Parts: sequence; structure tokens; C-alpha cells
Amino acid sequence: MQPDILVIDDDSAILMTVADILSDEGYRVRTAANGVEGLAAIEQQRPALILLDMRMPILDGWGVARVLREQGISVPLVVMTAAQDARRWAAEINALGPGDWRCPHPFKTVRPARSFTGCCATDQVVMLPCSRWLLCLPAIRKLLR
Amino acid sequence: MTADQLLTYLSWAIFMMIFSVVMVQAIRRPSRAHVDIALVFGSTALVIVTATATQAGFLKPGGIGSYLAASGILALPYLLVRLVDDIAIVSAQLRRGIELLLMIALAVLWFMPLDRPAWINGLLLLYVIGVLAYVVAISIQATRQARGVTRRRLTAMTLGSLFLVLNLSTSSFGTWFPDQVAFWRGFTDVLGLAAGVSYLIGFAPPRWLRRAWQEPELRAFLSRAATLPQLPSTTAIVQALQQGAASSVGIAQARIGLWDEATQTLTFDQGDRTFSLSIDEDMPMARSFRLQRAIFSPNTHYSEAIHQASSEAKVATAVLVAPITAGARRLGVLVAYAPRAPIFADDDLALIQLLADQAAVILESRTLIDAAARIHAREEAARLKEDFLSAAAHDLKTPLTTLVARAQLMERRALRDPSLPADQVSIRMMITEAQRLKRLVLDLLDATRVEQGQLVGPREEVDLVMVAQETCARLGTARHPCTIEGEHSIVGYYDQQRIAQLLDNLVENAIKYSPDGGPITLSLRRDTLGVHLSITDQGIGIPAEDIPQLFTRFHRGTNVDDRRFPGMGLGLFICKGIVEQHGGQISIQSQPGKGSTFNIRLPYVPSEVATYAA
Repeated sequence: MQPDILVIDDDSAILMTVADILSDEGYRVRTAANGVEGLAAIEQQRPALILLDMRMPILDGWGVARVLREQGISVPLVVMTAAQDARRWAAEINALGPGDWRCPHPFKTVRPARSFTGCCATDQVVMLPCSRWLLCLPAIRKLLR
Repeated sequence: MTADQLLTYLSWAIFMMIFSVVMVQAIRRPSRAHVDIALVFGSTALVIVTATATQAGFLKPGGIGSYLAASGILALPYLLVRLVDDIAIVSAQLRRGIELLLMIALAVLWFMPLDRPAWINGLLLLYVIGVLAYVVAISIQATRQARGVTRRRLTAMTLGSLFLVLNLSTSSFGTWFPDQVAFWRGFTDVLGLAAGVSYLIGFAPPRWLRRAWQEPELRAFLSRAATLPQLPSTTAIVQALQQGAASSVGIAQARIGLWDEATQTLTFDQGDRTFSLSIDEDMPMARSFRLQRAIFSPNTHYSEAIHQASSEAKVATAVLVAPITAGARRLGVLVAYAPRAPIFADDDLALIQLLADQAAVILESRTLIDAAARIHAREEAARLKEDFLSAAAHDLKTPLTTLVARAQLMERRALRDPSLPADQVSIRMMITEAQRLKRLVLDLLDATRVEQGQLVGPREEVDLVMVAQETCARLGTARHPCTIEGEHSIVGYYDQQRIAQLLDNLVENAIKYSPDGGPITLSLRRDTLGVHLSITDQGIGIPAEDIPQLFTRFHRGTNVDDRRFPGMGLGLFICKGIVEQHGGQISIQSQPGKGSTFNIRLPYVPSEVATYAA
């Protein structure tokens, strides 16, 4: 059985497109329009990976990350974000709890955006500026392996 | 010698002493004030000397001595009028009239026989008392208007005149009450002495007394000086400096002319109007600025410009000017006006320079504060622009992300299985996202048009209520029901597209900032003022301090979390442009946590020929 991926994004067009791309890759995909819906979906069934938008109404990406930390739920997070913000947001999410810094291979080679060159992941959070979705796929595949 | 005789001699001695002091002063520095005060005490001295000589038997009673003494008494009121004229303004005609009266009185005294009728003597006394009363009256008036040291001088002078009137009125009481003759003579002498001393300190105050009199105002001004640069505008600072300088010197008016490098003029801001003075003019202000030193000009002829610019200065003839200069930077001049030169003391020139130096320090601090504020504003503008660019980039990227990803997805699917039918869902989605992108780009262009005033195009007949209904139908949802109230139809001439854009923007905003849902109400009404539109929501509201800047470009409310409510901050800027270019006004009423109402006033334009106010 293929791993289950949860996509959380308030922009329905992005949500549908990401879901379609991942479905085409053979993953099982569930979607949620905001953080609260996302947490409910996680509660229902723990996904193998969460693709998370940061700017959302009701409960944003930071809120989701914080709740997961508090509840000790360890699911790899792939943050979908614009490249300029990635570094700052990665620092903010890591500040929520102690993180084991590492830079897994795919993210170095994927290099989705020029400005995103530093350390890019913790054991739980991966910052991925995924405006080029197809470039992100290998990274996602690596995470799910 | 009796006590009252002693008092008489003592007062005479003091008078003679004062006379010699003012004589020396008048000879050493024959200024008008000094000569006039010497004449006043000269006439008194004449009375005293003849009286002494008569008592000592050098002069026969009723002889030449009596004539001289009487002449002195008759001259005294006129001399006092001259003295008052040194500080306050006495009309020239009145002065000439009093001169004429004096001539007649002297002629009567010298050429009419001594056994002249009593009523003539009565008239002479009436002349003396009348003129003195006039002196008292204008002194009191001048005292009321004056301030600082000048007020104190005028007070002394007024007291002097009062004492003198009392002195002359009580001088004959001795003959009417023969048994009290000694008392009345003593009383009169004390009054005369008091009058003399009052005049002396009023008209020719010793330097130490002048300084002491100036001190309270100067101290008050200097203690305020440190706070002056904090005043909201340079105009306010200049006004405070003018007031402080005027009260410190003890004059009605002081003015500051600021140097304008661009026009090479000194600019005097009078509040309601300004006037400029070229520094090449032959005027004390220009001269002081050119020479960079303080100047005293006792008789200044003003050009019409200055007369017109300052009604208060119309009567001024004396000016003190000092350059306001901070290091090498010439900032302007400080000008002190007075109706008469004797209002100024010799060392007021040093005082005005001191005040000008103080003004230089204050104005220079203000310049530094302004420069810091400008830098801050530039930084703020740069920050706003940066924020705007990042917000614009984000907003443009969101539809682009979908567009690119969708296109790639379609490509991959087509490569995998070329026989698949056209992916209708993807195509629809790409069209929608491309339109969204287009709208963002149009917003950016609109924002530019707002600044160029070219946002609103040709007007056509349109029903505003119908436009509102379309907006509501398009944007309202179950979570955000959109309702319309008020008129059923308001038909007028407006730019339909822009009005629709305006309502769309405001309703979209209302929905965006009501994250927990809530009704949106559009109200459209017509009254005598025109058309009143309002859009009300029950959303997060806007903090009061944000409202003034909300309609400026790139500005967003401080309670708006960027991550929750993405936006470029262009919407309201464009809305304001649409409303204003229709000749209307837009305003906000809001209570944070309760919701907001956007109120729009548009002119009612029922026919094509009606013109717009804008």
C-alpha cells in the first residue's frame, strides 16, 4: 500500500494541483483547507508525510507545527512556501522545540531556489520552497522511503 | 527749623541731585529721552531755585522769581507730554495744540497785570491739571498695552504723573485750611518728591534696575528654550521665539526672518501671510544680515512691504536687528520693533544678540530633528516598498505556482499517455489562475493610475443598486451572506466598471477580514448631499491608529497578520482613487473585534450634462 500524504493549503487551486501531481505518482492523497481541518485529518489517520502551507486562515502552518510538537506527533513536514521566507520560517519552526539539524541529500541536490542554500531540515521539518513541484518530487520520494 | 521745613529742604535737595544727574547724562549722551528728562527736572529745579532765592531774600516776592517759578510750573505738563511721547504715542496735532496752549499761558502770565481776574488764573490751573490728566490717561493706556520691562517703566511713569497731579491739586489746600498749612506743605512736598523719583526710574532707569526688570521675562523665555525645538512646526517655533524675544526686551512685537537660500531673501512669516526681503535692500534687517552684526536703527523708514506685512509695526520707528547664525550657517535675523527709540536701552543691542544666538541654537536643533525625521520617513518608505515587493511577489507567485505546476502535470500526463482526452479540469484551473494573475497585475497598474489621476474613465448611465446586487450575488456565500438595503434604484452617471471594482474590492475585503464568517451589508441611499454607500461587516475591525494611513499605498492594518491575510495593500488605495476621482469621499468607522463600516459619499449625477465636482 502506497504511503498516505496529507496536503494542507487554503488555496484550492494549489491544493488540487498538488493532490493531482501526487496521485499521478501513485500516492494516496488527502487534502485539508486549513490547519484545523488538517489536524482533524491527522487525528483520524496519521499520514506518512504532511505538505503544509504556512499562510492560512483559522490555523496557520506555525499553529499546526506547534500542535504536532506539543502532542509529540512525529511526522515529516514539508513546508510549501515562497523561497524568500523559507529560511526565516525554518528557524521559527525549529524554535518551537529542539531540532536535530541535518541536511539530507535530496535537498542539496534539488536546490529548488537560489536563495535557499543553507541548512534546510530538522529531523521533523523540511523546508521546501515548492513552487517547482516536479523538482520537489524526488525529495518527497526520499523522505517517504 | 521745623519738621515740615526740613522735609521741604530735603525734597528740594533730592530734586536738585536728580536734576544734576540727569543733566550730566543729557550732556554726555544727548539722546531725546535724556534731554527730555533733563528738561522736566530743569523746570522743577527752576521752581525750587526761585523759591529758595525768594526765601533767602535774593528775589522779591511777586518779582521776577515768582514769574520764573510760575513759568516752570506751566511748562511742566508740556514737558511731560514730550516725555510720554518718547515711550507711548501722542498724536502730533494734540502735541501742537498743547504747545499752543502753553504759549498762551506763558503770554498771559508774563504780559497780563498781576491783578488779573481770578477766572484767568483758574483757567491756567485748569490747563495744567487738564494736560496732566491727559498724561495720566495715555500713560495708563500705554501701560496696559506694554509688557515686560516697558510695562514696569510705564507703571513708574504713570505713578509719577498721578503724584504730580495730586501734588498740584493739594498745593493750595494750605491757603484754604490756614491752621493746617504746615501739614499740607509737607504733604505736597512728599508727593512732589515721589513724582520726581517715579519719573526718574520710569524714563531713565539705572542699568541695574532695567536688568532686574527684564530678568523675569528673560528667565521665563530661557527656561522654555529647551522645549521649543519639540514644537510641531518651524512656524510654531518661530512664533514662540518671537513672543519670547518681545517679552524679554519689553516690546509689543519681535519678528524673525528666515533666510531662504533658493531665493536669496529673508522670509517673514506673519501667520496669515509672508513677505520676503531681498538682502540687498537698504534696510536694517538686510544690513544686519549682510554685515552679520546687531544693528540699532532709531528712525527707520519702512518700505510699503513691511508696513503691509505687519499692521502692528506700522507705528514702529525704532528697530533692533541681530543676525541669527549657527556657526557658519546663516539662518536669518531677529527684529525687535518699538514705536519710539527710548523704549530700548543702550545695552538692549547685546540682549537682542543674545536672544538671536538662542534662536539660532533652537532653530538648528529643529533642523536636526527635521533631518532625522526625513531620514526616518525615507526608511519607512523604503520599508513599505520592500514589504510591498515581497507581498506583491507572494501574491503573484500563488497563481503562478498553480499555473506552472498544472502545465507540468498536463505535460507529464500527455507524455505518459498521448491518447488521453484533453484535461478539462486543468485547463479550467489554468484559465482561472491566469485571470487571477491578470487581476493582480491590473491592480498594480491601477495603483499607478491613481497617482496619475487617470483611474476613472468615461461615465455612463448606471444603476448603482444593480451594480451592488451583482457584487453581492457574485461574492456572497453561506458563511458570508451579502445583503442590500436602502433604495431600490439609484440611476446616475458613473464609471460603471470602476464602481463595480470599488464595491467588489470592499466586499472582498469585508469577507477577507471576517475570517469567522458573518453578514456583509451594503446600504445605498440618496439624500440632499448626494449618494451614500456603506459596506458593513462584523469582522476583525481596524485599530483607530491605523485608520488615517489605511488609504495610503502599501499600508495595511497593524492587526493584520501578514500570514493570515495576504495582500498587497493596494485595494483601499485604489478604492479611494475611484471615489475621489468621482468627486466623492471615503471614510471608515471601525471597532476592533466588532467590525468595520466603509462610508462612501458620491455626488448624485442624474444626467449626462451634470458636471462633476472633481
